[in-house]
Amino acid sequence: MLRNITLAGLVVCAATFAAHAQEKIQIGAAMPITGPVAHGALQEKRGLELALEEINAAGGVLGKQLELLYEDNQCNPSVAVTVTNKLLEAGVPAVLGQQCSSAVLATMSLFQRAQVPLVSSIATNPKISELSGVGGNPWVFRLNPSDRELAVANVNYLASLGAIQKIAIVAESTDYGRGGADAFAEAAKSKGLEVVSTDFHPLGAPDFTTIIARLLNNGTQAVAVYQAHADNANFARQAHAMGLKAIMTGKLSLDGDTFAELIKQGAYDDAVTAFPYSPAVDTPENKAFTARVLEKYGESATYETFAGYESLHILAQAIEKAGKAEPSAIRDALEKTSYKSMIGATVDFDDHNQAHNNAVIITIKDRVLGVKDVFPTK
Amino acid sequence: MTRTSPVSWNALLAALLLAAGIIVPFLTQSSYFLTIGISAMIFTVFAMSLNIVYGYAGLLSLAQVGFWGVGSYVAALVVTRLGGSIWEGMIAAALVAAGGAILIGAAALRLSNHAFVIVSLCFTLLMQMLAQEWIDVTNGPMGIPGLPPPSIGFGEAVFSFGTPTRFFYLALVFATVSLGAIWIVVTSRVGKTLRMIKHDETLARSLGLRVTIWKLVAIALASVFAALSGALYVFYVTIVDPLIFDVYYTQVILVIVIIGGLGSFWPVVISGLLITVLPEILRTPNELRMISYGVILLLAVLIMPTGIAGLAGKMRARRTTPATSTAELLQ
Amino acid sequence: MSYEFLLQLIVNGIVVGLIYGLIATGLALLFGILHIVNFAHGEMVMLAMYAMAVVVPLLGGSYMASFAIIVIAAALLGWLVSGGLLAALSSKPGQMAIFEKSLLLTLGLSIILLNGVQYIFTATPMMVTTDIPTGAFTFGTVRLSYGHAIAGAIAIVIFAGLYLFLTRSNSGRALRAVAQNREAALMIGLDPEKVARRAITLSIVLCAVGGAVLIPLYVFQPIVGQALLLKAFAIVIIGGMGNVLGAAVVALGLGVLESVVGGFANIVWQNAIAFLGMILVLLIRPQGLFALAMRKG
Repeated sequence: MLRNITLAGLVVCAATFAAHAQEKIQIGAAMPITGPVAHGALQEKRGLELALEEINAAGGVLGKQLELLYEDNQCNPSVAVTVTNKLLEAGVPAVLGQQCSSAVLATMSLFQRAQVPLVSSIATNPKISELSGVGGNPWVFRLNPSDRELAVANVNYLASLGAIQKIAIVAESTDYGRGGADAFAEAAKSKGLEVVSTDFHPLGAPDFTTIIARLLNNGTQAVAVYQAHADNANFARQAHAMGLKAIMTGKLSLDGDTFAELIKQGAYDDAVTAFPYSPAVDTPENKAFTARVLEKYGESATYETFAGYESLHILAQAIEKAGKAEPSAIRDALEKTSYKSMIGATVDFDDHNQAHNNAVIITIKDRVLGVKDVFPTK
Repeated sequence: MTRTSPVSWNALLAALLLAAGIIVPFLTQSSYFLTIGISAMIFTVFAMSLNIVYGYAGLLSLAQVGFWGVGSYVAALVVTRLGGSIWEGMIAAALVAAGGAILIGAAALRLSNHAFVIVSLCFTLLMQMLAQEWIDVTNGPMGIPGLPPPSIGFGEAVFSFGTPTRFFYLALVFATVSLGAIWIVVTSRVGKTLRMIKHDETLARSLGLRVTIWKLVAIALASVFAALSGALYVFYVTIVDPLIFDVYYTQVILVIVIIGGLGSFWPVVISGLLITVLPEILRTPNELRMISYGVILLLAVLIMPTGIAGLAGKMRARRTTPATSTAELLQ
Repeated sequence: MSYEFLLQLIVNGIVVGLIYGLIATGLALLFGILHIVNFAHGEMVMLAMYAMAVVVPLLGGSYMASFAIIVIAAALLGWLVSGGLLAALSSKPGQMAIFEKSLLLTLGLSIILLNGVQYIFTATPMMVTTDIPTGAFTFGTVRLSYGHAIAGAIAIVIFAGLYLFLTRSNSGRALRAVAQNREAALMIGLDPEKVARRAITLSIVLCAVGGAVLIPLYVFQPIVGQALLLKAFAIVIIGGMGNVLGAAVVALGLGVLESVVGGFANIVWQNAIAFLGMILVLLIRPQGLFALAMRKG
């Protein structure tokens, strides 16, 4: 109720944006606040709020306080279009997030038409960078590595273990799931590993027993998943109950209380994942960050927290460099970004507006999560 | 008490609404309000299509959303896959819808009334399933984004309806032409025949009317307008995905038609405009708006199943001559 | 073909079919006895799931205790609202037919329930942890998770109880009598209102049981009821709209068929079966299935 009133209030604020132009700079933030990926949006919001506090406490940007205008895209392409139009209509000079690959892909042309930059920090479908930058849409920027790089690293690690020959893929039928599944299949093929089955299920599917029965039967040694948190937790719980011994791999977020519980119960034994972030990455900046998140929110930082946090800092830096809160100036400044990420690499954009931050290999050994490796993504 | 000629009332209302429509974009440049207006006009035509088959022909059909969605996808595919214009897309949408309607209708009308309703529901669900799973054609849950704005003309002299204001006028023309065409049909012999069939089917048959053919006409007509409004709608939203078949749309058009009054014309138009506009103006959160639609539907069915038109009719009946008889309907 | 795989699929399918059966028989009861189409049927199951989600943590994760509470609450609530529902659904000649009226009213009800729950709980998926241990019974290579086993066992017990109720008890036989021939039932002095209220209550209790057995198995959202409604509808149509036994049998068959097809072919086909079956039946054999629907009065 309070959130809805706040949102309504924010919309009214946006409508009178011009009058307040002197006092605040409003940045749009679209994310799947409700629906199957709501967990990710909650985490991203935490990161954004943390960064917002820091930036505003240090005097804001260009002497003005920053403000975030949130909209719920429900991780659905047509809803994303509607809320993006709302944000663009509100006159924000830049938008952060969307979080879901489908939402980014569906709205890319809107940003181009409106000539407003979008900074995406979580969506991993490889098509996004293919369509951005040179020869494509110069208004969309992506901070996180795509599933292609991650899948290659993932498969390389699995192959190096020697024991895994057969892998099954289970993914949601969205741009995220299908893009990830394709990337993984490609990487597996080039490493000579066999993909024994590929199953796509609708986002939010409640029942995986048939798929799990198939996996029990086709001799797969690993299951590569590309699913929303809730679906993945559900899948892991059901697979564990049915005694599936294949190890989990693919994109496993594994952060947060739900997964901590499942890891303890043994649902993720010997899991391996290549992921854009882990709170366990050992750098002083990351340690400080995770400590602050834990202190402020009582729950550990996740990939989305990190992504939200850094995306706002990078955008704020770009606005400062641009000298004015004006979309095309911000866009030009973004192109020249050079930001030291807390997980070690420098964020700068290639000619497809794609950054190449580090990524991590995370493993679960003896029911304990650990970072096996931090590696650069090309 | 003399009865004013129906034509002049209709002309007056039409002129008023048209004038209001023309003036609106001068009162606001906000794309937010223009979007509300565009939605209102498109949804009113969509609801009127349900009115044709449910209100005038008496067939509760849950297939309207199915045709709305099919129309949307056909138009989107014609433009994105076949390189056609939105106009060609809309024509294709109308043809596909009419064809489908005649086929389904012919099969379903042989069944009892209950079975007809279920089959109509199945049609919508089937279309939704196709949209969701036939990835190669419809791109499944990922939808078909990036639909270009409608435009007319070629080469240098291209006029694009890419701004909210221009699209508003496009929607206004669409609504005026569509509602006008529907008004002509329902006040003509076709409409009178349909109403008689709804009133007393056995009598109609005994008078030699080919009831099934007339019902098919109604179903086909309804499907065409549903498909056309769907097609226009998705080109405004610039994306079509399986959510276009969501039960939300069925609920909204049912509420509009029942509140307005099944088988009435202007009350349904007013109801359509109000029901689409009011919740947006009040900025009610999504779920509360839906809950109020549900409550309205319940109250309407329980208290005033004949809608506003019915209440107005009852009030008029107290002051004038008794209700029309079947003989009058036959004139 | 692997026999163990087929067996596993069949076992899964039987459990799913039993759960479908719980939900579908409630729907069949309502139509057979009252000629009511209940579009809010799925939402009733969903409500039970959310009720469990609230009660289970309060009782420290105890599944059985929560289950008992939910079912008793459903019975009480069902009886209380059944009077009001009946009054709302009654229709005189010249007004909307009961079928149409019930369809619209329950559609409205389903909107209110779904959006109400979504407003309170949001659409974030809900996972309920109960004291049911993780793990499975193993019979050779076939595994039946504890959650599934409990669901199946409860369903079987309920069906047995339902069967005994309908065939041995007076009120049960009264229900069947009204379903078979309303006028005759009235003539032998059965009280239609009591029978109707019992039918509604029974239907609601079956929904509650269906929802309660699902919560250890599913992670759910407010729209979970919609998909279940579709399955229930398909089952009832294929089996015969007033036919309780038919619904139970078709439910079981559908569960097994879905599981086997989903296992050997693409998952997509799994959901299509119920749907295609429904369409085929409607087009090819609607007369036999709608024998009850076509009677006037």
